Amino acid sequence: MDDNTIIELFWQRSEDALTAVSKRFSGYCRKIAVNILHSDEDAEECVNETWLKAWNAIPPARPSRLTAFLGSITRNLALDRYEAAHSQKRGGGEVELALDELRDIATPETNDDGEITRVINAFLRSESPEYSDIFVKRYWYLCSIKTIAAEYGYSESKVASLLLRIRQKLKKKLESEGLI
Amino acid sequence: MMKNLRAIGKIDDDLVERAAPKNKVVRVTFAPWLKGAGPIAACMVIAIAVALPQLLKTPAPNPENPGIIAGAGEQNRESSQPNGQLPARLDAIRGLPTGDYTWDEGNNGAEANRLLTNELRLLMREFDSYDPTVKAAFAIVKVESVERFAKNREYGVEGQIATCGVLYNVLGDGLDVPFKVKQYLYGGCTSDEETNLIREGGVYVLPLVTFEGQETWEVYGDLDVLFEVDDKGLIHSHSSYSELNKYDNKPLGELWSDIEYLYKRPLMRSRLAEYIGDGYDVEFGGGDGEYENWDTVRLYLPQTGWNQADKEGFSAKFEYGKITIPTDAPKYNIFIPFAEMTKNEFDIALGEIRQFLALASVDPPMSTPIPNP
Repeated sequence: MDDNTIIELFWQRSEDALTAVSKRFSGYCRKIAVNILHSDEDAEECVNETWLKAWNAIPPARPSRLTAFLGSITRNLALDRYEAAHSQKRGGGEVELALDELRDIATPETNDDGEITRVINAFLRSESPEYSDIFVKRYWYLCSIKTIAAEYGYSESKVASLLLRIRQKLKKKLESEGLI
Repeated sequence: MMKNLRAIGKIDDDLVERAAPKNKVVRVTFAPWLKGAGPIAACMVIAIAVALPQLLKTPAPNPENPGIIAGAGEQNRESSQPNGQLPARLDAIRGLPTGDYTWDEGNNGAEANRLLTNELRLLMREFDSYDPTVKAAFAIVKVESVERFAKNREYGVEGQIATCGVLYNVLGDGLDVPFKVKQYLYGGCTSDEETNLIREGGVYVLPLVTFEGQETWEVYGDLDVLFEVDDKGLIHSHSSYSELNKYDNKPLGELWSDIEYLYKRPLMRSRLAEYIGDGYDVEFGGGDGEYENWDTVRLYLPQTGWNQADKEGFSAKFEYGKITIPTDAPKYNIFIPFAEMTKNEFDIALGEIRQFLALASVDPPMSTPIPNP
């Protein structure tokens, strides 16, 4: 069932839409949630919550890319859970590692999220697709460096080195825009 | 920093979609019993697969002595059993009486609902996943017990968790026994009936998957009772699709023969891994660029880890028995066109691997002989 058909089902308020997204996107969304939460149970709850959020969002939303739309909901829900669970203590996992890696390009809390996103978007589009994808895999999907390395056939050290270079370039870009 | 992580979360959808994790590499692991049996077991798996067509003609054993239908939950060690007994023993497997029902596949939009395919051939291709977060197994399982659970508090779906044992396993990827299979009753689709749930005491041939961090397994693609073995040892697909129901009312051995044939690549992989795995760890994946239609095999010394493979490993490309060294590929990659190779060509490749290891001045323990076909 393609994206448009599923979205039409949402607009018709047909519960088949939930069945369809569950069947087609469960694995994808679960991966995102597990990357962040490292818990099967929490991830499953996140994924189920994703369908409900999508149900409430469509309509009025009509996402052009259902994959990214649902993945984004799952990611935000998982990060919310992660933050709630880790408000008192610092733990391990990919989120913590990713946060540490992003420490060098930390932007002030007062900065506008939208402006930061705009700069990151422009930056990623100026990079090669491969570098952009590796960055997104690491910091959007929270994939481990090992997983990314396996996907590209690179060594982990090469991926870590690539990510460092990308972050350094992004830092310069953010500095030039006055966001750091 | 969380602010940046949130900001990254709002980047354009096309960038996110393009970078979605690909199904690429799976670390091949073997079921504990296969590890324990070592190379002999792997040899027997191959030998059994090769001999299967002939062996299928052997008569079934005495029904009163059904052989391998041991208590579910016991680990099956059939691959190390004497060659020649397997198909007959397969046909001696008995499940529960089953109703003559067919899923409402065609009339309820189920083709769209069905996650995968209406052909075993395509199912196996899809099922042969490279996803590093997915573990997969295709096995004949017996259900020990079933526990129902009430509606999920988030989604309002009820279902069951079945505790299962393994009777046979084509390529077990960490399928320890007993293992648990979770199934849901979604409602409004193919999986909406009680008949879609596996039953206590039943025997099924199931494609199984589980995900990183998940304790239970799922039947891949909601093919929940595909295939069921009845009390006479006959197959029931409960499917209206001709490529699936062509096995209906036939002995289990015939289906299993097809499954093993379709699983040629993993069998080759397991054989290769057993062959060279004494000295090296092996990872399989897809190739990139000009090698995208090839399988990649990475070899590395276990003590160094695969992130050191570019220092400790080597590279080679097999093409119908000829071996070349791609200059632009990572040093530790070997490209093998499993899908295109005949068994004979694969045998040649195994020999070439051995020769290459010698030429590459590496020193793996090569005590494992090339298995005889």
